[in-house]
Amino acid sequence: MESKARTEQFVQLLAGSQNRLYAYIRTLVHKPEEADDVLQETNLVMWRKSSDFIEGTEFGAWACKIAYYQVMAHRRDCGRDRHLFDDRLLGELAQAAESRTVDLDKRQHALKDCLSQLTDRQKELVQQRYKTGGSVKHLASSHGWTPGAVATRLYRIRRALLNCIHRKLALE
Amino acid sequence: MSNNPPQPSAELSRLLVGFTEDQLNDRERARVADLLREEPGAKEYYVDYMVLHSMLRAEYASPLDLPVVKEPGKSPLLGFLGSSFEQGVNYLCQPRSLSVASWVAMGWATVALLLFVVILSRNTREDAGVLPTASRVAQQASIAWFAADEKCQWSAAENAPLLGSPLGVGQRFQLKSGLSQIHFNNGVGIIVEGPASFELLSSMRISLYSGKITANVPEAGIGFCVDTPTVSVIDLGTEFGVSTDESGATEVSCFVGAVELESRPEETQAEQERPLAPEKIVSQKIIAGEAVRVECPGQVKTRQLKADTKEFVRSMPPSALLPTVNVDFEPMGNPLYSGSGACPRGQGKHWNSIGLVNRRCGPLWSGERHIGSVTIEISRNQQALEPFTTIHAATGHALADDYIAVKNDDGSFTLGGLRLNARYDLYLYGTAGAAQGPQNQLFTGASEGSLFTVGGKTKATKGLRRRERPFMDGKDYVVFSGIRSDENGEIRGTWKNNPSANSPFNTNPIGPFNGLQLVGPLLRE
Repeated sequence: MESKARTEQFVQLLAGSQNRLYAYIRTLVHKPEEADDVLQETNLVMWRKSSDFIEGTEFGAWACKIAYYQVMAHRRDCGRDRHLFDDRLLGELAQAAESRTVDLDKRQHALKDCLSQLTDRQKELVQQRYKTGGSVKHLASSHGWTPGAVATRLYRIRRALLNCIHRKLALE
Repeated sequence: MSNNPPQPSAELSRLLVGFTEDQLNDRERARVADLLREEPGAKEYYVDYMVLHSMLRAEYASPLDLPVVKEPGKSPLLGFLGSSFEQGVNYLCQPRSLSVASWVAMGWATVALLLFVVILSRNTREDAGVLPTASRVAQQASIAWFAADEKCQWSAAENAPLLGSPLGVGQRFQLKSGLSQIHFNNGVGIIVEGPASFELLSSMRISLYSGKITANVPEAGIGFCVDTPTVSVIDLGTEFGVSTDESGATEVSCFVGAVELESRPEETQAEQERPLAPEKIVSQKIIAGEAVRVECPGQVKTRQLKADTKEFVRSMPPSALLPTVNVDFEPMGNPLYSGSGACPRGQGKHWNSIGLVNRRCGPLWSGERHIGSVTIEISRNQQALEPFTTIHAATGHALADDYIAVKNDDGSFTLGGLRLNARYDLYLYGTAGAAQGPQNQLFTGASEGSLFTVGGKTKATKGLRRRERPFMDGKDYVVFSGIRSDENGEIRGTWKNNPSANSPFNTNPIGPFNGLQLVGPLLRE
């Protein structure tokens, strides 16, 4: 019974950390499909090592540590020549990503507010880009723009959202 | 926290525009890394930017989009989960937020199922509509393969690719004469007419230094780019020709659809180090039937030509295609696979459906031709369980979750009747992943795979087939390139369960083998 309760608690923690883990890994791994792979490996390693997790300690830090090792393993598997970041830069980015995602729930909440401030056209563009199966190429094709023009528009929107989120978090 | 978030330089901003959309070339990506190291506040801005990118994905993508399950209990995994399965699925099919109370209210097996779903559903691609680059292995080794006509000759024999062999990023070629056809893994096809000099920069970009090419770009390759010394030709979903002379003067003819031209003025040394402002780049769109000539970099003056369809070779002669044999194992008589599989070949649509009753099959078909000599023999060693098993026979996805399988043992196969000592590419499918029903892809033994050994090398597949995406090297299949047949005209291989691919929830792991594609000379001398 104790074991069952512990399993449930662990699954609950694991499920609750998925967004943070993905954001953390995606910062360190350039290709989205590779970030998906690393997250999946991380989940499996966490599941297998669930007995190593000490109750009462910060689950997110433990999870990020495992994710970091999985990113390193992924780099090793892929070959050094494909690395975008060297080890030192990767370590610095990992540290920043861990601290920047501690309050991911707050950020996500602020993002919702900020999204509501976009124009309808901007909202539609973001939604089409990020919905499952959405891509810049599809957007370019459907709007008759170049992929570069779509990417630029999206970048401007992201930048505005970043500033908005930052303002909201600063007010808290 | 300050009211002023870190602000990036104009250069970093410009590069990040393309960074998240995978539009940068290797040099630009390396520059991003340099700027992150050197520019104050750049790391923080980059992390914030990437975290936002992930948050937007979480906001709009549907990671737990699970339709209703109609026939639970047929897969080993579902059986393992027992009655909690339906409870869990019913829960998952409700509009939901994953509250703590809801998790705790379910049995642990259900919770385990949900965890499994979370793990797998995370595999949603950001760009699911775009064919993926091939696997890690293929990304390092191969982005394309090539065929050629009989007149094809290369200037440097040592750099000449073998017919049908994989081509990689950074390979530069000097085609002396004849025709060469490059088939990129994403479906883009280009025909190069000699004499020509070109380089493969990625599966989405080539440099044409001189010579003529025709590009045929499917939807998945939209954005494919041909760089010449004077202009970048960006595909918008089309067929087009590019001709460049030694001076760099370029003519672009659009046959179908539209292309975008971007031409940069010649840059000074200082400008080369700082990316050019977007307003200085001259761009022009041309549509089917139009053509332009660009004499100098960045020059605005272009003259309209009529698209010269005769000037360019738009299709290879049939004799230039390498033959392929496609085999889909059909242990339970599932519908025949329909499609090109992982090997992007013109002849890839004809599949041999093999029931393996006698475990020896032949003769086979390649394209529309009957290949009299080629045979396939499958055998297993002593303790292989479930030698011919299948899951979801009625709805199963061919090449994904109908398979023959071994457990705790090796199975072996022999391809016979081949040319003696000839080179072949062999694609082996080994996944116990998605079935037709969208929910099945999540549960049907979905992280199983096989270790295939051919020619002394072992490669692994690792399940997790998602019905929405194309086949992926290293997940659904592996490819052994340039395998030589022996002096008897045979290629032998083995397969077994890949333990590292086994789901922690599956108590009955197996090594699946779904089918194969054989590329190379199939007729004996």
